[in-house]
Amino acid sequence: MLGVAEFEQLPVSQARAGDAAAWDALFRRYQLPLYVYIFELVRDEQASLDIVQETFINAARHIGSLRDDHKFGSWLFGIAHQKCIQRWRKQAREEMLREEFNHAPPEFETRPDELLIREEEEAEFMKLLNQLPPPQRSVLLLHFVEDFSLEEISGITGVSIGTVKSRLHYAKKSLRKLLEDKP
Amino acid sequence: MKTPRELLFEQHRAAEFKLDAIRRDVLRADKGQTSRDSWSLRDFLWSLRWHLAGMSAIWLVIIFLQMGPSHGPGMMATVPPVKRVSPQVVLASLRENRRQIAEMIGSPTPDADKQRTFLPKPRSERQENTMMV
Repeated sequence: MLGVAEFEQLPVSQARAGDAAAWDALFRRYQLPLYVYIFELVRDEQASLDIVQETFINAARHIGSLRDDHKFGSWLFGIAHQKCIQRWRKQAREEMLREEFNHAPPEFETRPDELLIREEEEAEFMKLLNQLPPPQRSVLLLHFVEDFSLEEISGITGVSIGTVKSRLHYAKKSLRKLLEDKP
Repeated sequence: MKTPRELLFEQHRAAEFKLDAIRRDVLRADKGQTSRDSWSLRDFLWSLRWHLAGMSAIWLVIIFLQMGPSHGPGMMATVPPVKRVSPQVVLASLRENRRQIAEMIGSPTPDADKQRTFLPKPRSERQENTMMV
């Protein structure tokens, strides 16, 4: 599956050369998706803005470590994800990240835009999203926000593809259950 | 009906103003960092000081070895010093050479004439030409 960013022509090579306008375009492109992802994980506006800023600074300083320009989006989200984990560790909530599922998950059955939410369900959707354990929430957000592939989500979160599949499956199952249960 | 992406973006659209400010700050800071990096040549050279010192020492050894066999002090010692000859000696030598050449070709030299003039003669053949000064 191709991610949203893979259909775009991003000025990553120009940014590597130090072109400020290219960096501006890249940051403008990813600032809102990154913020959404971070905020929905940490649930703190100021902390989310700080992590976005740190992610941009790290990206500008370590662009040399990016091997493939086409993977800029997942690379950037990987930096943000690590920042979120550092924050969780600081808050001594690491145990929540260790949640693993032992069941064999089914395949990735739906695309993010196939799940449609009615206006009256929006608040419930957001509420349920916040109730999901952070590992499930993380993969679900990466899937929804940037339509990253399983491989990309695996690279960003640092877990195996099987674990990503499992988390995504149970997260979607919980969401669907909520939406179906509503009268 | 909205996709989850549309819904999430809509929920956080209000943060874009703050995100724009963060983006501008990061770009400004990065620009400053880049300009500082360009002035860190001195730091770079300082980090290479031991390498540069080592290379300099190697070059000095090479130059010393190149000079040794051909232009070293040992070779210089074998060259005899140039003798200084006085002008009187040179003139005497030249005069002697001229005389020898003249003897070989048989032509009379002024010295020979003079020598002949002053050969002692018998009293009877001696001319009375005493000059008064």
